[in-house]
Amino acid sequence: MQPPKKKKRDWSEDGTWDTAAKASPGGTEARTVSVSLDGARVAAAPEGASTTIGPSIVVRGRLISHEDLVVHGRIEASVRSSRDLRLEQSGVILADIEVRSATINGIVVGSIRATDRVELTAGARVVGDIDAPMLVVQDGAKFRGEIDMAGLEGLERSPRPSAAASRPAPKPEPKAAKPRPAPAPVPMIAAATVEMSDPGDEPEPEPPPVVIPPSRPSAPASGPSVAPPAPSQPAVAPRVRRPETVGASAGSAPAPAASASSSASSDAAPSPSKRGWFSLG
Amino acid sequence: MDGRTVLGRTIEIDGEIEGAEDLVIQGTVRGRIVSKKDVTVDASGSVEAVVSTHNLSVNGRLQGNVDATGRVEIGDSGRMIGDVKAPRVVLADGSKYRGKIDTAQEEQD
Repeated sequence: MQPPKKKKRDWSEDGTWDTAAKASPGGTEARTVSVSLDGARVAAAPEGASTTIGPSIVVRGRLISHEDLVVHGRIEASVRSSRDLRLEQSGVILADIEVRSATINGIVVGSIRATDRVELTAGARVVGDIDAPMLVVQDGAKFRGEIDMAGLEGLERSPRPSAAASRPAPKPEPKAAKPRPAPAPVPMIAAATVEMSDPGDEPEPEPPPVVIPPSRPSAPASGPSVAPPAPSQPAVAPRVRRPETVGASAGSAPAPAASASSSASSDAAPSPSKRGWFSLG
Repeated sequence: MDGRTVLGRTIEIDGEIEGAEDLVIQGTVRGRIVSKKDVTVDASGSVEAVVSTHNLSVNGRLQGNVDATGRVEIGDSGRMIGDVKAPRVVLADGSKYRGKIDTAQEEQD
C-alpha cells in the first residue's frame, strides 16, 4: 500500500478502501489510526484537547482515548485513556476505567485504575475497586470497593504479610467500628478493605465485645498475645509494648484484642496485629 | 438540551453510540451509530458503522449503510462506501461514493 503519509484516500483499484484501522501504523499525522495505549503508534492530542460526551449520549462497547475526556452521558464501555477523565454529575460509567487521572462526580460501577490520581468528589457514587497512587475522596462521596494505592507492579502485597493475613478477617474495630470503614484520603488505607455498608465477611464468629483475653489462652492457635513469651513478640500489640501478662497484653487495648482474634484465627504471624492500631484486621 | 458532542481525533470507539444530540466524529468509530439528531463525520473521522440519523454529513470516511430521515451529504473530502436510504442526498463535487442510493421516502423533520 502507499505510505499513509498524506491524507490521501486509499481508494484502491479493488474498490475496497483501506480503512484507517487497517493502514500501516506508519502514518500518524492526519490519520489517527489504530489508537492503542501502547502509545507508540498514536499521535496523542495536545494537552488541553478534550472531548465532551454529552448527556444524551450512550456509548457501548469500548472507548479508547488519547485526549482528555469529559463525560456527561452514559458509557457502558470500558474506558481506556492515556489522559484524564472527568465524569460529571449526570455521567454514568458502567465498566472498568483505565486512565491517567480521573475526577469522578458521577456514578461508576466498575474498577478505576489510574496511573496518576483519582479524585471522588461529593457527588461521586462508586462501586468498584480503585487502583491509583494518589487518591482523594471528598466528603459526600459514596464508595464501596477496595483501594490499592501501591500502584506498582511487583510490589503488590508481599511486603505486607499483614494484608494477606488480615484480609480474611477485616473485622471492624469492636468499639469504634463505624468510623473505621469510612474511606479516608490517607494512604494508610492502602490494601484495606473498605466497606461502607455491611461489615463484610468475617469468617470468625468472634463476638464483638472486647473481652477476649481471659478465654484466649485456651485458643489452640495461640496468637502471640497469648503465649507467655509475649514480650518476645513485639508485633503483638503495638499499643501495648510492655511485656505484660498474657491476658493484659491480649486485651489491654482494643486493637490487640481484635488482632489477637484475627491472628488466632488465621494462625498467622504476629504481623496482623501490627495493623491493629488502625484496626481493620 | 441542545448540546453537541464532539469525539476528538484520538477517540476510538468500538461498539455502539446512541444519542439525542448532534454528534461530530473526528476520531474512529466502529459499530453502530443511532442518533435522533445530526451526525457529522469530519475530515479526520473514520467510521465503519451502520448509521441511523436525521441528517448526516460526511467529510471523512464512512463505510456502512446509512438510514437517514433528513439529508445525507457527502462533502468533497468525503469518502463513502455503503447504501444510503434518505429522502435527500447530496454528493458534492470531489466526493467519492460507492453504493446504492434510495431517496424514495418521506422526509421527516
